[in-house]
Parts: sequence; structure tokens; C-alpha cells
Amino acid sequence: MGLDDAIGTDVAWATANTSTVIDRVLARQPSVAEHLAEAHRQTWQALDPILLELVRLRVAMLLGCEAELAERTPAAVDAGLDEAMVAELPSWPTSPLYGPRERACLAFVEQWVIDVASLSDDDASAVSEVLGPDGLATFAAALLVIEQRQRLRLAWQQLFGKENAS
Amino acid sequence: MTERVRRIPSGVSAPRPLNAALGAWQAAVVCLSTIDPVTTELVRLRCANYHDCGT
Repeated sequence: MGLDDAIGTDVAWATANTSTVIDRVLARQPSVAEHLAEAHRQTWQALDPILLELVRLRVAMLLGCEAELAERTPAAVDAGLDEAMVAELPSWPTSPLYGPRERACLAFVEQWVIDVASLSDDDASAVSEVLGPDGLATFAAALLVIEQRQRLRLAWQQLFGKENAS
Repeated sequence: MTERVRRIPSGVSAPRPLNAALGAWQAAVVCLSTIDPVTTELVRLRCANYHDCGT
């Protein structure tokens, strides 16, 4: 069985000029597509959208996901996302635009993306201190969705080509 | 063997809708039938190992 068969799609179809590569590939797996979309929707309902947007963009920077970097999530923009903060995102440990809350969360994000098995109790405690224990649980679930969605997007871009600008 | 300390206290979790959506997504992926169940299980266990997930 070839890879195309395995994921239930084909290259010509998956590179059609519609939406993101995730939407195209999962169009033939509607149950998976709908559950991923719902998880993504719930992620944006569960956390401060500005914090989550900074997380999403930092994950994109670390993974090299250009498509994600070019986008802004409407909920974050509506909430007042500051592009100056986005510009300073690579310098979050020292930038005065970032406070303890963002720094704790972004440190957690970086360790998660680079080597999740090496996340330390201190990494988790730092997030728990700024978001609370329930906030840590929510943050980890949200980060899982954000990171896995981007990894899927990157992997399928490699298989089916870059996405067309919408 | 050192007992692991819970990072998230018992009874604390992400909001129910997010947890439910996350679980449903993962279940839908695992239930796909185009990849044989042995390979799927090997991938799942490798991911659990990589994520240091004891459950």
C-alpha cells in the first residue's frame, strides 16, 4: 500500500487550489477533519487569544512553518494583538514587551517543541504559577492542538507541495 | 524507582469541551482503517514514549 492509499488521497487532488493542505487532505476523512476543526475551535475558546497567538507564532518560528507565520488569527487581532510584540517574539526572554506570564508560557512552548520528554517540573510549575493549575492543564491541551496541527501542515506540504495563497 | 510528582493536581483538567474534542480527534485518528492496527499501535506507543506519557 502506498502512502497515497494510506491517507486516502492523491497528489493531484491534494494540491488543488482550495484552502489549506489540512482541509484538502482531510476532506476524504471527514470525521477526522471535523474533530480536528472542533479541537482547534475549542482551543481558541479556552485561552486568552493574544497569548495563544504568540504561542502559535512561536511554534511556527521553531518549526519553520511559513504558512502559519503569514497568518493572524482573527480572535487575536480582535483582542488587540500588538504586532510589535510579534516582531519581538524571537527576543521574548529579554524584550521589555514580554512579562512573566508570557515568558513562562513561551519557555514551556520552546521546551515542548524541541524536546517534549525533557519538560521539567520547573517548566510546568512556572506556567502553573502564572495561569493556575487549571490554566496549566488548558495550556498543555491547547499547545498540543496548535503544535500537532502545524506539524501535520508541514508534513503534508512536503508531500503535496506548498499551499497556494488564499 | 522514584515516584513521579503530578504536575497537574488530581481533578484538574482543561475545559470539558476542549478535552472532549481532543479525545474525539485522537479516537477518530486511531480508528482509521487504512493503516493496519499493528502499525497504528506501534506509532501510538512510540508517541507515548516520546511524550513521556505513562498512561
